Parts: sequence; structure tokens; C-alpha cells
Amino acid sequence: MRKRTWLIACLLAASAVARSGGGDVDKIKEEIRAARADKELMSDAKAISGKAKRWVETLWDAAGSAKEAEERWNALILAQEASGLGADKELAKWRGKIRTKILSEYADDAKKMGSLMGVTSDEETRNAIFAATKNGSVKAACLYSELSPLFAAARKGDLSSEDRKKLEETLARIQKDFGNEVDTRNRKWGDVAAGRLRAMNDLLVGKVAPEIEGKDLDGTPFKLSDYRGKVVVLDFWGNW
Amino acid sequence: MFPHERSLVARLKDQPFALIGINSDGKLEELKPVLEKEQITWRSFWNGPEGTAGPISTAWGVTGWPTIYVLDPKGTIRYIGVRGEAMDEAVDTLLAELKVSK
Repeated sequence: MRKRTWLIACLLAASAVARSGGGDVDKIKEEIRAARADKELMSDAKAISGKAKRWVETLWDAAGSAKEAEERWNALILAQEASGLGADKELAKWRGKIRTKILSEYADDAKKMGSLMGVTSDEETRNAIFAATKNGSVKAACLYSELSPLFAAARKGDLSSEDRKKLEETLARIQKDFGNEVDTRNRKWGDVAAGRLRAMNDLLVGKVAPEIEGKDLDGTPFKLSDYRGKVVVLDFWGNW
Repeated sequence: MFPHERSLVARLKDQPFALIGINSDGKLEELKPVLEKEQITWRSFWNGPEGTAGPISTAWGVTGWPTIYVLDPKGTIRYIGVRGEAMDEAVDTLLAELKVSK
């Protein structure tokens, strides 16, 4: 009887430890969010690096002892994010170590690689993912993610001719090499790249708008050209 | 955004004008009550169940919502990204052009 009580106590304690693993991850997630919003802390390199190191260490351990796959992933991706918060050498080492770990396990998982690029979108990470993955959709995402700053510049109207060339060449490469690969939202990469090229080169003031054929919200088919002869405001909208 | 568009559509109801939406809500059944509540009477293409990743917005390379194009009666793009008063002004300018050319 006594033995049994002891066993139950042990099991309870063990499960509490396991739970606290997940709890640590959630807690650190909140702490990182708060830290990012704290301008004073973020501008104090030493303070934020110190915190980041403690978070990374805790998360690394949490990943190692995680019982479930998702728990492990959450800890690793958050560790990767935390390792980018400071700029000192030790954190840089962690950054490489965590990335290597992540790539050794998840390089072909398009969604997870999307998250990885979301937390560390530097060139080194993109190149490492590109080299590690066998998944064409992930490779396309690497190339595409490289273009974000160029798209932003294009929107503001200050894209240099050199950057424009890079933008067009990279989109053309995505079309050619990965056009039939499907992205995480079910679109062909070829269509994504073609749309961006079209917006840049053809959807301009003075050019004729391309046809749209589709169905209205009641399911009735119609075409944009049905409205020739009228002034038309085309409004890409959503209720959010 | 809906009140402005509603008033634009109401003001120009007898003019050669149409507001055409491309709606990117993935779940139509959740959108239907909103149409009624907000009195969204103008016609929209539906971008499909993938929502903002649907075929029309993808073909147009749209990455931000709302995205606005104003077309003249020939279907030529004349203004991009005009909102609020600027949208009204753009439409009024094109309607005035149309009157002169007739």
C-alpha cells in the first residue's frame, strides 16, 4: 500500500515536470513578446542578450525533454527566435546550433520552414534552408522570401533598376524551376510569381486591366468586361 | 470602409458606374450575414475558399487588402490605391470625361 502511494506520488511529480516543460515555453513566449515591445530593454544590448541566453538555454532543454512532437517544435522555433534577440558571440553560436538541429529534422516541411523564415529571415538562414531541403516548394519559398525588401521598395516607388532586375530574374526562376510546386496555401508557385510580375509590369496606370472571370457571392458567373462602358472601381476586399 | 463605399454607390446609382468587389473571405457562410448587416449591395467576385490566397488575387499579385484599381469605360487602369475622398474624386473625374466624350 505504501509502495503504491509512493509510486503514484512519483508519477504525479513526473507528469508535473513534463507539464512545466510546456508551461515554460508558453511563459517564455510571453516574456519575449513583452521584451520586444520594451524599447528600453531592446536598446540595452547586454541586458537583452543576457535574457535571450537564459531563454535559449531553457528552451533547448525543453525541446530535448519534450514528450510530443509539436511541443518539441514549439520549443525549438522559439529558441531560434530568442537566439536572434541579441548580437553577442555566444548567441550567434546558439543560433547556428539551433538552426542545424531544426534543419536536420524539419527541412522538408514547408509550413515549418515558413515559420523558420518568419523568425530569422537573414540570408544565411535562407541559404542554409535552400541547401538542406529536398522540397521544391521550400526552395521556392526561400527565393521568394529574399524578395520581401524589394517588394517593399517597389511599393514605395524607389526600386533601383538593379533591384528590379533581381526581382524579375528571381520571379522568373521561381516560375521556371518551381512553377508546379504548391505553396503552403495551395497556390502554384508559378501562379504566385506570375501574379507579382504582372502587378509590377502590367497592372499600371494606362494599361488595360486583364479580364476577370468568376462567380459572384450568389454563385452567378460574370466577367469584368461585362462592365465596359462604365467607370469601375475594382475593390479587393475582405471582412476582417 | 463599408459606409464610404455604400455612400459612393448610392450617390452614383444613376450614373454609368459600378463598384465591383473581389471578396477574399474564405468562408461564404460567415460573410452572408455581414452583407445584409452592412448593406453591401454591390457585386463581388468570390476569390474562393482559399481566401486571400485565392485565384483572382493571386493572378493580380495582390498582397494587401484593400487594393483598389479604378478603370475607365474602356477598361484602362486610371488610378491605383485611391481611397476615401480620393476614390470619389477619381470616379467623378472619369465620369466627367465620359460626359464630354459623348
